[in-house]
Amino acid sequence: MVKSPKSNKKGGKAVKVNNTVAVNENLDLIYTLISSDGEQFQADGHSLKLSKVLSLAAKCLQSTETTIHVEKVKGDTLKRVLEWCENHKDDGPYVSKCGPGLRLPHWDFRWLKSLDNQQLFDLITATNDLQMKQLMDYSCKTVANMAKGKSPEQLRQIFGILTDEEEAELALNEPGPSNAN
Amino acid sequence: MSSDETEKTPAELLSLPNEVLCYLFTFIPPHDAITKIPLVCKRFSLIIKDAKFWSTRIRNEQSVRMPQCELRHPDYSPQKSFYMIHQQNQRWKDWESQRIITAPGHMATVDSVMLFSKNEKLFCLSGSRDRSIRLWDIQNVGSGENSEENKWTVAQNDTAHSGWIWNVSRNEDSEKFYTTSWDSTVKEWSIPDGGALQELNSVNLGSAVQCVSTSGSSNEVVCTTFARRTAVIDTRSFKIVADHQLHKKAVIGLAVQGDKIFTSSEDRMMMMVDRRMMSKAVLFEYCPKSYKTSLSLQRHQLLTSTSDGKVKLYDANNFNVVQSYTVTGILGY
Repeated sequence: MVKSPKSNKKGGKAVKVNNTVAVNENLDLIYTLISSDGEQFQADGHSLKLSKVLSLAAKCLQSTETTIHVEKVKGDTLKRVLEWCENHKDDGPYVSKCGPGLRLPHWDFRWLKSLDNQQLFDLITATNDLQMKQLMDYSCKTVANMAKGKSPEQLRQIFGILTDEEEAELALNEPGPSNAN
Repeated sequence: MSSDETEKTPAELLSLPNEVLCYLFTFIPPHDAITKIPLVCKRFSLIIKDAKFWSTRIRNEQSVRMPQCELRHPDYSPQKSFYMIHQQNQRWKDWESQRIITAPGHMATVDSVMLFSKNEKLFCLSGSRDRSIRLWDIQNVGSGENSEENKWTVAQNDTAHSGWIWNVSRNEDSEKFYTTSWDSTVKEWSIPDGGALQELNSVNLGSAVQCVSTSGSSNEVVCTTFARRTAVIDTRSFKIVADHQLHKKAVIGLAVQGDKIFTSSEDRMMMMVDRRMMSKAVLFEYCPKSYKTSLSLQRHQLLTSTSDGKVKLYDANNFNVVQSYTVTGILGY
């Protein structure tokens, strides 16, 4: 099995939900979300519903609190996440259609296309951390479309990946204990 | 993203954690994922070469559970399996819209067809109850009307047998054909390039011959008859060199792999004998409710069709039932 730096999913499964709380409560309540770099945003329960992590965090708040700290996500990424949520908050339930067959809706297609690569990758990481299946599917599909029909060399250029030789070269020249003077 | 902005670090796809990359790769068409992605960098290569990546996809995306005998096979490769399943799904997705061409020629039921390729051309050999065999050129059939310039039937023999022809088989190495018939004979044929069907040999097995298989030893052909007999014929002398009559009724299903001869009969028994000792069944199954109408063997997995409308997959090493499907109607071949 390939070893990887595993991403830490925020909250999610470790938090227990109180089963006696009514299901439809607080969907119209406005919450304040604070990003990792201190930016503040407003969003209602309908928007938060699109993220498993955020909706669970909202449910677990004390009755008078409306602030959620989103520690893993930076301000500008969070802003985009919420922009997407705002657009999709009235959608019906989403059925994930894995794999290359997925088709993006018009708005999402254009919106994702307008982001640059770094913004897109940050968005994907955020959707993974916030457990937002739909946006994650759409953004991954966008990246896959960019990769379509490209040769490995072109893929490296588009995604800023070094060849193994270049990486080895870089590692050799990086200052560290072995080559310190 | 321009490359002359040397101060700005390029966007880091590699900053994504592995499980996100794995998920991302599932959106890339399988062919590209297998051939191009591993060449981008070592990390991608490690992910794509990881068997677990593909096994999980087979389970989750394709909803397929592999039988143990397949998983334990030394040649099993989850990556290849995934790709093959994907190919087959694509192929049969819209099978109703595929082209169907009816090729007239035979005058009675066609009981057996055999597809093969030679010199990169596709052919079909058909055997019918009108006692004739015909060789069809598939490319011609697909490219236009039947005519002198575009002949669909490129060779035929109208008196191939003196009874219904039940089965046709081909030996890939020797390129010889074998036909079996109600007239109790098994005949050997060859088709020289551009020439007519040539009968080379014939042997009489005493009763209507049903199945034939060339998948055993290279100089042998195995046949089964309606009089309960399973016979092995040496193609050099074209004589019966071994046989058994362990079944109690007509032997209607046959599959051979090397020294293993699998047969099924209307007596509701399915058995496997070893070619080197034909007098005893090594594996044996009696099914009171139905009998197996046909057998198909590949890599230790025996696929069978039953008279009560099921398709059953067996582990060929021990006759354990791996899976069973119910289909409406009675299945033939």
